[in-house]
Amino acid sequence: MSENILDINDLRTSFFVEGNEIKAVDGVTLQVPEGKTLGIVGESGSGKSISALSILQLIDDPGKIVGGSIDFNGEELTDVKPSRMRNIRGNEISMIFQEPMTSLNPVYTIGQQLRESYKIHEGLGKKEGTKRAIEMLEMVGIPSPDKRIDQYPYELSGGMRQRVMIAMALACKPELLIADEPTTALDVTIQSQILELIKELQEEIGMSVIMITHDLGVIAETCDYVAVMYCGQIVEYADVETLFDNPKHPYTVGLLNSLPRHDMDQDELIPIKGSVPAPDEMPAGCRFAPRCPHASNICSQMPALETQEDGNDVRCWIYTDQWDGEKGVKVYDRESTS
Amino acid sequence: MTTFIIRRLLQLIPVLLGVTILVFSLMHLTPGNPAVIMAGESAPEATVKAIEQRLGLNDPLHIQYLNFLGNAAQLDFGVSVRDNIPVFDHIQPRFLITLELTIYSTIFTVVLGLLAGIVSAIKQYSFYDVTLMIITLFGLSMPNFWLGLMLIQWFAIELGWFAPTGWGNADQLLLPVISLGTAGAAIIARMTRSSMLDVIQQDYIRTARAKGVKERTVIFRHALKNAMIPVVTVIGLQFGYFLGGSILTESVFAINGLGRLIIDSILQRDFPVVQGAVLVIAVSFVFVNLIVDISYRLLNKRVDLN
Amino acid sequence: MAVASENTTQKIKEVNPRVKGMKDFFKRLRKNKSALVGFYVLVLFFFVSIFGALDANYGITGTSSSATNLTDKLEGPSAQYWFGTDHLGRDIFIRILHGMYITLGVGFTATFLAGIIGVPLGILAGYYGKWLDTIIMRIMDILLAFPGILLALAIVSVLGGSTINVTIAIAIGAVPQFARIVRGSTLTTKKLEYVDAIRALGARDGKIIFQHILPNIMSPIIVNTTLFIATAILSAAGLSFLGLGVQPPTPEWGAMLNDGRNYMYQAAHITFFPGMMIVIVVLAFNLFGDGLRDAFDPKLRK
Repeated sequence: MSENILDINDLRTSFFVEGNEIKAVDGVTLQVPEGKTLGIVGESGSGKSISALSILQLIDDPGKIVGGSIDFNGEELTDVKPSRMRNIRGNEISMIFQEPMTSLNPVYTIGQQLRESYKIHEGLGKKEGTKRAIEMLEMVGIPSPDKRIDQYPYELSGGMRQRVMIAMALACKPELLIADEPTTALDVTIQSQILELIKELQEEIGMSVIMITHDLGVIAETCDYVAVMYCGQIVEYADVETLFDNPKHPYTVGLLNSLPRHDMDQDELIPIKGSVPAPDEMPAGCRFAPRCPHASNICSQMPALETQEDGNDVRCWIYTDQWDGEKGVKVYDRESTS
Repeated sequence: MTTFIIRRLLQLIPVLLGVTILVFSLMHLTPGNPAVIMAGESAPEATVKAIEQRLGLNDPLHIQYLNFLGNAAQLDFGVSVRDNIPVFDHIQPRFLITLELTIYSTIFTVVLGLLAGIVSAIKQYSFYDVTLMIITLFGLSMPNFWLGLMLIQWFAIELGWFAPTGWGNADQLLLPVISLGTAGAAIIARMTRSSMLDVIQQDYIRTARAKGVKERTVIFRHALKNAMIPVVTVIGLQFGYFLGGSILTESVFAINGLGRLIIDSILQRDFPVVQGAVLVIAVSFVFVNLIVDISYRLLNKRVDLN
Repeated sequence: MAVASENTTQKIKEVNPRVKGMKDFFKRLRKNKSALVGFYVLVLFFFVSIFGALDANYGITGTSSSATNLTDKLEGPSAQYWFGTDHLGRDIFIRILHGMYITLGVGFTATFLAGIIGVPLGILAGYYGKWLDTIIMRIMDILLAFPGILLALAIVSVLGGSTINVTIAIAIGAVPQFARIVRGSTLTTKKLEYVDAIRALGARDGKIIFQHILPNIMSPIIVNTTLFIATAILSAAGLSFLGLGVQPPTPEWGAMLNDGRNYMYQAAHITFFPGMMIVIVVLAFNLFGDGLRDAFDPKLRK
């Protein structure tokens, strides 16, 4: 078992709107082992991006981290000084965002934006910064970087801009990279290139990665461990093989069933029925119960995240002694989907 | 970009022609014989005839217009009916005074408006923000001539800090500038505030924060430059409006600018001077708008993501 | 020729975002306190101005805005003369009361006239586009080349100063602003999918314009009408202040300011009260107009 670079314990982040508390992240516990990739998968609004922004302490008003701890290399990020936090951001922990089209500042050149990181974290001047910036652009596979460096974001394609974003995130060789849906906004052909690039650079720099996505395909391609999030909570956590071979939570199964697979002959994709509940209509018990095909009486109470014999952590009553529904229910049936 | 400028310049031609036609018509739309009006009802026939002769009022209208247009293009607006001095000589010194007033007022507007707007945006919903928004609403709702009168009342008559009228000396500059610039400052403050609030929510601001950029640098380097783009347009427009708004301010503070020349000439039925002065303001305004358009286009090129 | 069936029309109405939003609109408007303040002030002023107009013309209270009383001239505010008297000993409060309908009337009428002309021009330009658009908008550009009150001033200098001429001058100056805004909104609405759908169903232009375009562009029209009344009141007061608008002894507020400016050393109240009234009226229109805009388009807030 390797060391964990990041250890999140019972993290709670809420938004306070018109006197109501909306619990966007509700008791998330996660570890990122050093040099490995952790995937966080879930639908939009499941709290995965908010978790990531919480790590960097970038939650804006009216949001607030209301509880839990975030341990990064032995340092508690929830009560670190703002100046130290700025030092960590972009230097020790970096982040890539979903929208390459809007995540670069339109009024500054690529070079100006890249140099800024070197200036802040390494105190480099214009000349040295430019040199490093060109190296970085070359590293992320941007052709003729010495020309690109003086261009403005609008002169670059979406895929190019995401490469620039990656270059910017990796400029100071961070220990942890958080990639928040880095490929969602891109064409399919570009998607795999970008994922491939992140993987290569991960090995080169030796960093750990948190890959946030709603796409299980991306998870399968890039991750070592997976956390499945639903409505601000983790409902299942496992290493990537276990999760795909033997998913336990009905929600995970639902996600897998709604995914087209090329290793099997499927008659149809089975979507999860219903939709994510609105924040003010959150069920008191298991949050997935209203959409769950197996839901039973006990599901009106909140299940705990418990470790199973296969190694998965699952938040579901079916795997407990208290289960009062159909005995021996087969949540995941490989044969039936093949 | 060059094609845009050329197209924009070509569009100016019909507008400028239209403006000259409108200004030319001023004299001819007036009921009655313009020569009689200018000479005065009781003037002897010979005087009226002389004016008709001098202004070419007996020529067909289109000839008169073409002459007017041709002369105006050479900055020849005819001679004043009052004193026979060329209209251009009346206009030129007055225009410089109006231009000065306009430029100072624009500077006042921009500095005050930007500062107030930025602070308001950073401290959204604070006591300062709410107070400022109320003050700007008053600023927008105040007639600038009344504000001028009140400023004279308080700061010139009662406190004696400034001169109540005139232009040129240090103690004569501030009151007219405040009077003319306040509404503009209020507009710029509101624009800057909403533009900053909009920009602060953009993805690239989050990117900058995630890079470890200091909050102050985020605001002044990353946000402000983007937020300024729509504001620049408004600043340009304000400059143009001040050219028109200065008519009232000049009247209140008895400043011998172009506006006051227009009022005096209207009251004295000195049509050639009115025409010349109105034309100068309108044409300046058209060119200010052109510059605003082009600079907005240049600035916006990078930002327009599509 | 195929005409949209009742059923389709019904469906279109459901899709039409403005129609179903009216309830929310009033809810949002009622929540906006500053807009409500503006609204109540305007309602109050409306009734006061009607009373003032009746009193001025039929002498209900037996007071007069033109009765001079030289023994009481230039007196400050007192129990007898609430806002003091002017250089001819006329009661400023009574003059403000009797002049209110002129100020509001000029503002409303000028804006109404401008709307009557500007809105159809804007719709024609936006809906039909091409050469019609070019011609209309180029003419509007010509009118827009005269900043602020310059155009109104030029028109009044030709027509001569009177209440009606001031109204006409300000209306002409405002036409291009209406035309521009309406053209923009028409273009946006024309591009909406449901308008395409109705067109594909074979609806005639007139039907599309009146049933679908017009309801959709009503909100910018209403907002700008409200805000423009404020501007029109300011312009009218400005012209009268210059002595080129409403002529004395009519108790128009701008003209009263012009009377008072010669007596600032002796009697500051002559210029204070009429100006303050203009500020209050204009502020009320601005508050209400801003409130309407926010209520129509909640996204614009913040």
